[in-house]
Amino acid sequence: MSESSSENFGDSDSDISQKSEEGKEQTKTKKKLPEKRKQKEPQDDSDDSDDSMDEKEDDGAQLVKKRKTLKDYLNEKAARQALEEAEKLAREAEYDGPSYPSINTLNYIKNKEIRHKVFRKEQAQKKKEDKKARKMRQQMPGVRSKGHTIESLRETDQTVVTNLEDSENEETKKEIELDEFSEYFSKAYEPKVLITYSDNPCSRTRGFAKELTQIIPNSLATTRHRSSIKKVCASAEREKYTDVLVLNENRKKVNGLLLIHLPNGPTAHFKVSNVKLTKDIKRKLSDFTSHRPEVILTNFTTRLGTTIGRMLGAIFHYEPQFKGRRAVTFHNQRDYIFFRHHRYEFDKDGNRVRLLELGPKFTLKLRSLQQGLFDSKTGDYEWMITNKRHQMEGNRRRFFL
Amino acid sequence: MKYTTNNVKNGDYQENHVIYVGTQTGSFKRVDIFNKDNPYKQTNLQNLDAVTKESKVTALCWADDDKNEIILGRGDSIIRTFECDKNQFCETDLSIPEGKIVGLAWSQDTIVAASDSGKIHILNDSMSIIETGDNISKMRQCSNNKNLVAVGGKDRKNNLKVFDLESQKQIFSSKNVPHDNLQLEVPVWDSDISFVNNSDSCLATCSRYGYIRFYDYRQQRRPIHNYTDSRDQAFNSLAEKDGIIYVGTTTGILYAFDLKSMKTPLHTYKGATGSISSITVDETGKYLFASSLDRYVRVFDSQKSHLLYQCYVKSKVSEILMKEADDRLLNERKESSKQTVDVSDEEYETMFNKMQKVNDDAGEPSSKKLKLVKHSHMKRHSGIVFRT
Repeated sequence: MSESSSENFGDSDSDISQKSEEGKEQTKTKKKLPEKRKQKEPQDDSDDSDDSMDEKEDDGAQLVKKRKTLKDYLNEKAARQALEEAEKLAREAEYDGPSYPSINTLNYIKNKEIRHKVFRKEQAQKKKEDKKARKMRQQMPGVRSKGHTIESLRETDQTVVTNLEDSENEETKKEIELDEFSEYFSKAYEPKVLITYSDNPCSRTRGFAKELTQIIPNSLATTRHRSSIKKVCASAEREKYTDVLVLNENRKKVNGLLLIHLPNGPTAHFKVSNVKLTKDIKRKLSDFTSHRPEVILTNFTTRLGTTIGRMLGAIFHYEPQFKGRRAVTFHNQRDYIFFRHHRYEFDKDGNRVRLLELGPKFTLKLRSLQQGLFDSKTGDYEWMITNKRHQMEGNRRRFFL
Repeated sequence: MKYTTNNVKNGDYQENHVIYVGTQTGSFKRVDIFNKDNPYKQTNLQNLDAVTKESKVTALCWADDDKNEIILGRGDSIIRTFECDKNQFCETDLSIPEGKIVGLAWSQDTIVAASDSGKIHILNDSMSIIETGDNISKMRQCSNNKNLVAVGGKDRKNNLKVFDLESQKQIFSSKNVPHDNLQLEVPVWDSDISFVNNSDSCLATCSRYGYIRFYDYRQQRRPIHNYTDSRDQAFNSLAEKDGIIYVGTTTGILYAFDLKSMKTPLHTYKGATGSISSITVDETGKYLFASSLDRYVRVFDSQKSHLLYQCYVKSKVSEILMKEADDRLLNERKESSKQTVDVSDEEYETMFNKMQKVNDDAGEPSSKKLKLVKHSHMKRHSGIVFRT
């Protein structure tokens, strides 16, 4: 140990095989050391404590060749002590006794640079081993685990609609057949949508509504003229509209969306966030074509989710014009419904597809679903999270859609 | 109990209850809570193919004192009678000319039905009709005196009224509370009614306009107690037992009020995410049965106000009735459990049969293994015996 330079402190407990390398390194450091020594000499003499002096005298012969600073000695000693302690612990571990936390010898290297160097070396080694293990795992036969996300660990929901043809789901199937959207899905009518906003809307809200009219076929965006939502619904029904969208804004930002299906409801209220208009993602409205888009609804699994999915689907025309290659997506993930609008393009082989996002994009979150036309005070709510959020969201692995 | 979407049953809840559930889809089913093996067992009592858009169940009522017959009113003006003993509907259906049925009553072997257009039809030979108003939300019968029915609805014209079915005359018509501080009329909507305190003259009403009122028409026409909700909650269902009324809101909260002083709620029952459509209380007053538009039926402990039972019934529930399971139902369950034992034996047999087959028709990898085992004479040492 007496010969060892400051380099091998960290390694002293780890590897013998590395010693040969260390020898080379030692020679390098020896050359540099004398210069440093000259500067530090006066300090050393005055500050030397008793025990460190003892060691110094023992190594007297080598001092001429390679001079050590006090720091080196202290580091060396600490490392030696740590090694001894670790060995002691290892010995104790063999005796099936109680286990103690292992001591990281790195912590005893006081020289920061060296400590970092050693640490990096260890990390590299660890990384190498991990990589090897991963490769081994990948080559193992059998089903590879997908890992898990918060969604795959989702709390089991009673109401998830898996297979409608199942005998157990007969009633659910019947209910879906008889609901308010069954007429749309049997293609009995073409949807006609009225989009309106709060009174005195800011230009952004109006712009958003205008973009929605470009996406939803057969839709119109108008002001409300200070009339209540109930009146808007009544006049929309008279004008043969089938759905009404009401945008709410707060501090010049769109923050709410009310979706009302005419003539008999239901009414859904969504929170709207992260609105990015076409302009914000550097596209133009003139990029849009007037073709009817395809609608993609993904991940609406529960009974509530199916209703919401059907509701969102029912504001678009049931026959998309595939020539336009436009796709509108409502993707549900963890109860947030992400809206995206793309144009797609197949390459010459028809194997790969390229997407061009056209915008706008925004996120919806369901607040309530109410039976019948909009009547927030006296209407019957089928599902409502307002005022019950803390009670209902107790588990972060619980999702409702 | 914490909020959950699963079917749950508290271990303390061991009563032999049966619930009959009428839904907005039009189905009518029985939920066997008494069944210890599967307390969430549902039996559909109505053929689902016959269900249409208009045929949703809007009223349910016991047709006798022993709770053996149920009369069921539907949105398409049809009244059906269900016999619990035979577990089937009577073949002849009654009907009223028009309107959704909002209330049913039964007295002296005649069925009385109220339509939302405000007419009470007495379905006997004379087929007489009592005009009550034009927009009725509910009709309820007095449990003490079967000849009395109370109706209530939206607007001042359809305020709370009590009729005698025998004389077909109006006994009582309520008077609205005084005008508010702006000298404007307080709007009226009696969405659910109940006769209370085992008396002919005491009534409680709740409203979607956010008030609960207690009337005693021997004393005065105006309500004796009035509770007005400060948060504008809409109350849409009501039930009473032993001087305590249970009121459900359209946002899924249940409250209990003491009729003596309706200042604040006694209890709050949480757990529902949708509107409470119907409430019943058992005979002891200990258990509270609530159905909700979130497609669940729930049982609460009325004193401790916690959830005891919850079951997903697949459609939006509009009406609920409960009774103690009688011997017939309990015996039926025992028989069925015996049958299941037999079935399970068969299953075992088939399973064993299959196991043999699997060894015979095993795929390549397992056959290779088999060969290996043979080769190394492992068959001798290991306990595994392969059939060849």
